[in-house]
Amino acid sequence: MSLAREEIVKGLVNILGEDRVITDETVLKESSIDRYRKFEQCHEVYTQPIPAAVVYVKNTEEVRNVLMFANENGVNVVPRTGHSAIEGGLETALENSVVIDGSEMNQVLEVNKESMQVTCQCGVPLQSLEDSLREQGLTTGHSPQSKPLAQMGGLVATRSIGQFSTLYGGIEDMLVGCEVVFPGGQVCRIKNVPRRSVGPDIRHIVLGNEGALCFITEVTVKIFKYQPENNRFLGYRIKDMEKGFQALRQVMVEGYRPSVARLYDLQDAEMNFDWADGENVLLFMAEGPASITKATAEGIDEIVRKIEGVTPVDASLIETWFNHLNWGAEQIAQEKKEILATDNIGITTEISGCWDCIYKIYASVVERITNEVPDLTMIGGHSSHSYINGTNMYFVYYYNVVDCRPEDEINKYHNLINRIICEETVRFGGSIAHHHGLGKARAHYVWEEYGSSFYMLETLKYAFDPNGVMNMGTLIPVKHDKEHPWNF
Amino acid sequence: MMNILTVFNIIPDLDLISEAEWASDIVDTRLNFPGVKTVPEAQDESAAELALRFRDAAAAASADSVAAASAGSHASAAAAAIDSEVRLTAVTFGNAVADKALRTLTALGYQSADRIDTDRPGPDNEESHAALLAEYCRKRGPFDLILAGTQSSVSGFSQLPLLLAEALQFPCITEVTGFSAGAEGRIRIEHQTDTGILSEDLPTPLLLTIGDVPDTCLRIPTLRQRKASGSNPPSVISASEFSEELKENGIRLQSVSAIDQSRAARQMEGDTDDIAKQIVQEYIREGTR
Amino acid sequence: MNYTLILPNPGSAEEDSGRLSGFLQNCTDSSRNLRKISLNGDTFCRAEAALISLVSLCAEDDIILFPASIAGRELAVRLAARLGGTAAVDVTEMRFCDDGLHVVRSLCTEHIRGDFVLRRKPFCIVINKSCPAGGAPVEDISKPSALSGENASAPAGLSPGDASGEDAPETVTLPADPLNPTNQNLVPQHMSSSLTESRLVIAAGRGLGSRAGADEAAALAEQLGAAFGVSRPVVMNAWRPMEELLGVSGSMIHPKLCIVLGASGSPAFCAGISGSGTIIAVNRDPDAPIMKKSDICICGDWKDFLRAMVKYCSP
Repeated sequence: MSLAREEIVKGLVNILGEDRVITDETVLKESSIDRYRKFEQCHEVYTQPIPAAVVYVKNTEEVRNVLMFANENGVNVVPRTGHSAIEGGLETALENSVVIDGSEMNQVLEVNKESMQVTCQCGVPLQSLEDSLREQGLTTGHSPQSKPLAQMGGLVATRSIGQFSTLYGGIEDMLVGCEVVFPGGQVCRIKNVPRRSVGPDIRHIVLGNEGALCFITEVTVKIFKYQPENNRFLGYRIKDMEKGFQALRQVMVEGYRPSVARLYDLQDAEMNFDWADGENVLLFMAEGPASITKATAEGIDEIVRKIEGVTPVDASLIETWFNHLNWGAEQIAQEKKEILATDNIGITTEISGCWDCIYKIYASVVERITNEVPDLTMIGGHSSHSYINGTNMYFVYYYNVVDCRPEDEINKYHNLINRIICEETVRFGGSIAHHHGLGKARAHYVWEEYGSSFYMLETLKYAFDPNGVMNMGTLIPVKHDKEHPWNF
Repeated sequence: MMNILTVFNIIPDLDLISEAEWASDIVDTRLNFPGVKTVPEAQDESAAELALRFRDAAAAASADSVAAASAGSHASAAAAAIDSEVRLTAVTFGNAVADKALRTLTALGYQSADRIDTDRPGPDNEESHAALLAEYCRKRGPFDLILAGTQSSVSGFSQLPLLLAEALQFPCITEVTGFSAGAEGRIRIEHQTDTGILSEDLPTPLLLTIGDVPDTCLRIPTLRQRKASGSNPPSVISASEFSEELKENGIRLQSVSAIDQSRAARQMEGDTDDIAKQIVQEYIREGTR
Repeated sequence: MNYTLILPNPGSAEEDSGRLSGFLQNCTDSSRNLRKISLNGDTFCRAEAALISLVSLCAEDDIILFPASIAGRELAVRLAARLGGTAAVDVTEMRFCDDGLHVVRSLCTEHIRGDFVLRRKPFCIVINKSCPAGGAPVEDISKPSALSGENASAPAGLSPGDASGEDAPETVTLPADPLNPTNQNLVPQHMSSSLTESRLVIAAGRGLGSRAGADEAAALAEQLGAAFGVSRPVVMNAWRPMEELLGVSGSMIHPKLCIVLGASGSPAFCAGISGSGTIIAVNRDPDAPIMKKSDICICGDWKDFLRAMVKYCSP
């Protein structure tokens, strides 16, 4: 039994008061999507169901009351903080959804220097947290490209990862404890300890739930000493992409932990570096105590120089490039202007794979996209997060939108490309999403991704969200075309 | 046939440099920004895109007139086609970093893309560069239309195109916002003047400096287009190939320093409504301060 | 050292003359041989026609000054080329020294100050848009003040009329247009004088969000009796017309109070408003560069603020 829009709004106003329940049409339209439907958004075309309201919550009690209201009345809710998601995770897929925005819960509650932990509410912007920690000689170690926009709740919900992950790990290595609220009204607090062995690690129900299981109200993450004065940079051109992957692997296998280890294929390298000269690019950054960064840089340099087809470049070029990486409101506005002027749009899709299959995934994806996708202006990518057993591949692609209405672009191009990437990745045994989340876009491949383990995901969903009100369509699609999963 | 030259220069992307970096005096009189990604000058990009649009319009008109003429004779159809052919050339000053931008232009259909291998134009080498460019134009031309941006993001107002016009004795129109084929083989130009926007038909040859034109980002070539133009790489012209002695520049940049625009920056905190009320009372109701 | 001031546009000759004289007064205190030439051309100044006259008139000059206009810039550079001299554009300071003429102008979109030396005469100098007319700024209280809730008042910093005691310019009629244009059509454009004359200006940037936001801001500014100007991204997105552009490519203003809404504060924009008595910035980002470049900074939403201002200003 579903409530009408007006009744939903009334119910929310009763809980939160009028000034925190937003029903302004522009806000509602912008809140029906995230950056997945970038082209539509630039053209101000909104194809997703428009939510009934966007509500701004100020504390855990309010979150609880709103969730219970939604749960009791079958209203789909979409938890949101920074609004920087790019896989459709924030789309309001069902009619008359409600977006619960936690960005006003923006207090840093405690910086515990002794235990090296910081506790903050879900709406704390990572950039401001990081800036204030750096002033105290500390850092979260977490630096995703969305840092200027993203907030802590969303960063945990999506299993985000940052540019320095090869040293600090992803959010899953940084999260210590948290507080979450479930649709039934249960407020659960996981305490802060360095490790526990008390049954399965329930933090992993929260990490990556993408708002499909609970609303994250508070997180505690580790902090580290900030010592940028010891940073060391290394850069190389490398002729062969496959050897580039081997170089990354060898660095990891030999035991080095640079904070940054990246391999750009020649197309992506040409876009990013003026000095790439038609070759692939390898670059590294070492961070930490001086003796370690020195040893790390020297060790990596020794390994890489021995590889065939490698030419070192001036380290200062890498440092300069590095300082200009992040995406804030200005860049997004500029991008919008260019998209509208040129009808050319660039998107990314990231996957992961073990060392024994990552190159095959990369090569077959590039080949298929080059041959099968119309109006393509660029296909390439880079690896940016390495592990002992494998790495990710961040595909970057640009295409001209030709003879196509804004609302048709997603199926003609974006979903088609995603499908190719997911197919090839699954075929060779990789994961279809490394760190952006399944969202609603890649949720259509969730069965292929999980295989038999889908039972575990499904059970979690039924257990924690029996009434199906938590961000429906994320993780598990609501409408799915089995024949053509890329059409949605 | 119409021969159009676009002067297309590449500069470091100044938007990438933070306020802190500017304040720390990172730039010296060479105005180099090592390692910072390069982009085309905004108005040069507009010029390049406008040239492509001019070519597209000519091709469309040609298709129409060929269709009409072929109702007459094969010869007149061929003549109509040649008449409306537009040949696009791009030239830049710089090192190999600029080749990427030139390859984009050839992929988009520029028949030639040339790089004069010397430092990029700056506020104190425009006379010498204009002389080089004039000689280039005499060798590679004649050009019916020469296009260049009015301003440079690095050097400010660009003297180079005006000095080139003087060297070639070309009529010159500045702050152009659009141009198209006019009546009787003329070019119809729309340009900003101090008294308003003037549209007029002028005969070629002409040098046009392009002003601020919204929605003129350079289109993006497809991979297929790039592959097809791969056999037409940019050609590099070394400065030594120019016969004339390098012209001496009458202006020299002696020193640079960061401009400080900071003020008191007193923060007012609290409810926006209360603050607005206070501002109105203090600054508006009480008149002058 | 002799100086010639060129006034290419009859319509703005008085104002141009005031600014050029003011610039000269600030740069040299020695007695000088000064003359002014006013070009009487067609409805606009065709450089090719003007240059024919100027080449003979200025052949013996040392320093030739031009106003910060489209014609001024073009004429200065081309005349320098024809006379074998050197040109400098957008100059804010000038000083003659033993090694040549020292000029100052900005580079890298107002981030950097550049000090130059020019060596070959004649020196053709185009002054910067920001250079005010000679004499101290006059507090003209005769007209109603925007700041008391009524309409725009007199320009700050411009003396009424030309500086007294200087000769009238010699007028030169230009030859016929050598380019033989056809189908000419001039759409007159009046750069909004309210922007340069108003004592209260609302200056808005990309934070307006959309054309609708921009229009609302403009309407609210009007209710306040303020002039409305915008930053470059706003006109390049075609949210507001070019006439409202503030900054080095648009209008340079000197209001008593400038309220900056939703603009990050790029140097080119800030150069346009730096002549303001007081700058108040409202921005959601506490780290936006504009905050440090304002006298008062408020972290908040521009719409809430502007609507509240209108509320409290209404009788």
